[in-house]
Amino acid sequence: MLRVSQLTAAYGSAQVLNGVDLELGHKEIVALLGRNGMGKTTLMKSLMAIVPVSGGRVRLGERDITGLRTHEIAKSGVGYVPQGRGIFDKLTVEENLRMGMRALPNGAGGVPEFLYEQFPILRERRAQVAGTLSGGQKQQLAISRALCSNPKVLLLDEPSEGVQPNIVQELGVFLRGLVDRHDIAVLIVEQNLELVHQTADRFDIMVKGRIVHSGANSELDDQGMLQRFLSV
Amino acid sequence: MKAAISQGRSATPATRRGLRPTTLVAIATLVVLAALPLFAKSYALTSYRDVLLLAVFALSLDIFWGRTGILSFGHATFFGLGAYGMAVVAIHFEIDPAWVSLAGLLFGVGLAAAVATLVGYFILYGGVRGAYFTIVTLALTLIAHHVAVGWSDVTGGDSGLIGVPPITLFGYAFIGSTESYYLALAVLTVALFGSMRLLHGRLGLVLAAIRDSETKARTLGYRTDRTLLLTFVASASLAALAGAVYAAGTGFVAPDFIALLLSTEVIIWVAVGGSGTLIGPVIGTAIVWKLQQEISSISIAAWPIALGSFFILLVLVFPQGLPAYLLKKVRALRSGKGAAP
Repeated sequence: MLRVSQLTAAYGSAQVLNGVDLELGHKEIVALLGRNGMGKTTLMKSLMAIVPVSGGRVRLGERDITGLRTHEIAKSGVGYVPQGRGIFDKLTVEENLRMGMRALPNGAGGVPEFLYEQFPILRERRAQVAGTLSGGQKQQLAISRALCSNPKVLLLDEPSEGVQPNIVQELGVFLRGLVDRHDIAVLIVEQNLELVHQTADRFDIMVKGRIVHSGANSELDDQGMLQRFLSV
Repeated sequence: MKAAISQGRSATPATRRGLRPTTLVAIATLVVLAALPLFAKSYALTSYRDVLLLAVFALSLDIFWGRTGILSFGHATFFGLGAYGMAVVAIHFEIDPAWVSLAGLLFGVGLAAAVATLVGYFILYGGVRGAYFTIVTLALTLIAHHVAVGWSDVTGGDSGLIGVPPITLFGYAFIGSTESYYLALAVLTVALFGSMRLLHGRLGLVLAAIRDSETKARTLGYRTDRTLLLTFVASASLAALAGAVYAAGTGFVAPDFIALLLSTEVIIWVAVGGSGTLIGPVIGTAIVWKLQQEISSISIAAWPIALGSFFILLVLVFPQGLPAYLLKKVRALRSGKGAAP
């Protein structure tokens, strides 16, 4: 679904991505692990062209989306939930969701019903200003907003951050159900290994702007490997 | 879809739905303005007409600054281009008197729209935002002012151009003070309700989102630079329309119409009335105009001092505008009382 090859990016003279190779299969959830400052968020941002890419290629399905501008990437079918959720604090819940519908090919539509079923709180609080929601509710809103545009690929940057444990658990169940029922692939940056264990099919580990190790979900029990790459 | 799911606990404290008080204030204000000629003298009416057109100018700034949060310090450029466009067409070209007003309006507004598109394209697509945008637009006013003073063959230099005919549309000339007052009121009404309609809809939502975070809006598929540019050009065109009708009303143009002082004043009108409210700047313009009359009658030097002091307060104390600041104070006072029953 998403194929990243030899992607490089830099902030000024500081090279942060040193040739990332990554693949995301159809209906697959891949976790991106790594310590802080290894370039995970930068990778997400360069996939969205928020951080300019200096080399390499990104393909979405059959389409080469390297060099497209941020809004074009969104419209081509990439949904992005940034770290810290990125909802519009001053807009209402419903307005936030309406903002999410822009990237639909025909530019119109309603909030998919399954989202309201999954997160009834969003319907209940639709007239509430989003900034007043709790951390977990904001995360539900952010993910729902990204899904309003019916993307082929969903990029999630640390969805468990600042979310209470039972909601994290719920998110994991939701993501699993999402790929089971819909044509979507998910790339998730996550520090919470429990959530990774629960949701991901496999994982990639990033060190200094490169993928250094890839493995299946079962390998997450390998303490030696975790110690080596993540120091946990 | 809306009606079906509105049951339950919809009355959350942070609700933003319901009646729009600004719309009610707008209607009330326009009703009062419509009745004004019944009580005002003919001379006063021409002053009020000018105030109405300056209010349209303030509204035009509010459409951009109030909704995007990006301050344009160059809006007098567009007001002035409208005014000069009108005057140059009326004075330098021999056009059928029945059509000269329309030609002048089109030329003035078109000129402003073209300059706004050109300048806006380079700075907005170039990623210039915030204070840098303000500085670039400030420079724009300075340049425009120099052109207005220096290019005297066309603009009349320091003394400007005298003899701009009153607006004539489809054979009807708005010559009398009452007629021209109502013309100005019509322009204000259309501009006010037009912009309210537009900004309470989808465009308003997108601008509010851009104001919150432009990057977030982009990641959802919005071409934010284009939205900002279109808003800027629309705002500049409205400023030019106000300028063109203003010039036809007063009968002359002068470099004051395209000067930094006017760019500063319009910011203050908007800030006094409350930026982002659309009707606020209209009322703000009237309040400041009245104050200017009173203060200047005491001493002519007092006005620029008052204006400058207010501008400093605006930046340091209430960057959100006067009404928002007062509202916050009132709320704080109320909640302070409510907490100790």
